[in-house]
Amino acid sequence: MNPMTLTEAAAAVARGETTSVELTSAAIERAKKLGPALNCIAALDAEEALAAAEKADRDRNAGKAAGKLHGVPLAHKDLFYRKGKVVACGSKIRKDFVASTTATALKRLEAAGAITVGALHMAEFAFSPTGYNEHYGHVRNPWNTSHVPGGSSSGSGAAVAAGIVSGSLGTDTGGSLRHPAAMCGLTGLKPTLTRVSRAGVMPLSHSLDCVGPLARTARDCARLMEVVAGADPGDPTASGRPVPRYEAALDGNAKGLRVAVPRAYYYDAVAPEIKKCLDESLAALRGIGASLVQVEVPDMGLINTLAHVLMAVEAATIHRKWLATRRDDYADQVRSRIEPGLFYPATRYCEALGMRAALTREYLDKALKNADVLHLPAIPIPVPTIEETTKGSPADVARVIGTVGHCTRGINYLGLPAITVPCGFDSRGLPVAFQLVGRPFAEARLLRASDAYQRVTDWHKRTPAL
Amino acid sequence: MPKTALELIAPELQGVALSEADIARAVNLAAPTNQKVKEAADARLRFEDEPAGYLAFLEAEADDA
Repeated sequence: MNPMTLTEAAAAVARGETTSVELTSAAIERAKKLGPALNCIAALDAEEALAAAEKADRDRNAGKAAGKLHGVPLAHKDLFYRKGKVVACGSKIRKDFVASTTATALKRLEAAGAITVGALHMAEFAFSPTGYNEHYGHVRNPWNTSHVPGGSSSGSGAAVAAGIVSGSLGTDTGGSLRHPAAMCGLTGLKPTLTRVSRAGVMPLSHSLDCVGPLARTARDCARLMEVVAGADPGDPTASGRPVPRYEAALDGNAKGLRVAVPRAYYYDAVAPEIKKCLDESLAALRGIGASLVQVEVPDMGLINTLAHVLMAVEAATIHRKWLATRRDDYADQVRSRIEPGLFYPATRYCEALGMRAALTREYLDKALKNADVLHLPAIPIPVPTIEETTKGSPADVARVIGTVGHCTRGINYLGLPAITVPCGFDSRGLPVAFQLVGRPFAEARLLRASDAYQRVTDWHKRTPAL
Repeated sequence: MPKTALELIAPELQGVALSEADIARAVNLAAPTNQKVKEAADARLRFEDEPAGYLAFLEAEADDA
């Protein structure tokens, strides 16, 4: 299987080499064929999608193409509200919740011509970095179905890697978009906090939540970002900063790019086989003209603690009534992550918010003072098996789960943009990825660097045998 | 045994019924975390560090390249 990338699919529709109906039918067929084994589909709206695809083809034939995604089938994490549709958020509690609005990000994709074929499975209320879901079962990694796909946007990672759709929106509160992208061999962009509207998206923690794309290539992510980013009256926190032309900035040039490489913390837990792939990715970046700079980073232990306080308090606020009335409808693993939020005084929460700008400045001054991007591991260990994240002693399971987010969660507290890019495979044949972090609103720079890397490597072109 | 103020927070103030084991688990995590945040705030937080300033800070530090 070598499915078209998102931008290739859009171009093929635009040139008349294929039709939206052909692409959408193929996506539906593939979802039916592979969806059950991967457990990645939450809802398939075949009839509506095909009707929208037929209209897209009629419009194209009449010279009325809608936009940059005209006729391209997509599907998204099941926490983006779709008016009139059940949006379960991977939970038992919301299994019958019918949304009365559509998320701004989905409206923008559809206004650009995208066809929504359904919703993708996810971790319960977006809480697990591995994709764990006690109610609806584990999503499976298409590269090896005994392994986790990464979470919480687990269905997005699996569905794109399996070629069911060519792109998907996920959310990232501590790595929830970067984990599945990295573990499934995809490119995933967590934008700067507020770069993409969160209107109509089930929140986990409004101080940390970000909406972003997962797709095969940096170019695909650039296309999706250009469509979904920007101010939104529905989300007053969404940045009004003009949206750059991300795709036009992809010039393949990494000459002069200064790449910071940290010494401590991020490499504390890195497995040797992951480090080998990371070193090779740095060599490839040097090979295309980037220079490397060794840097220090601030106390990430403190930053992770503050991120935890924000997430736990905000999640406990959102879930408090359900915790009181529907306690047993949460998986233990999820409830135990929310409950500590009930025990933090408001003063601690406000202190965690108040230290944010100063700590972000300190991070930028240390890690990015003399560099343009920071190169980090995405996941410091090989992709774990489902068994490694569910069985064994609670301490072992907690350690594996905690290590998955070691290099991602602090970035959300800092609000910085980060992209994960495939850079090899581990000894069990599962994908490995690096992560680039930038200054606020550096999405264009991150995408340009990632695209330049992908022009001289082919890790992102590999697909699982399914 | 008398409960600490922290142990009373969730059941009495928040109205969430928790088992003794749940409370112990949450308090075990929350107590050292509260202490760590307090110490960091004592050492770092300045009067002018308002949470609302953070989004403006991100905009001011933007990398438009």
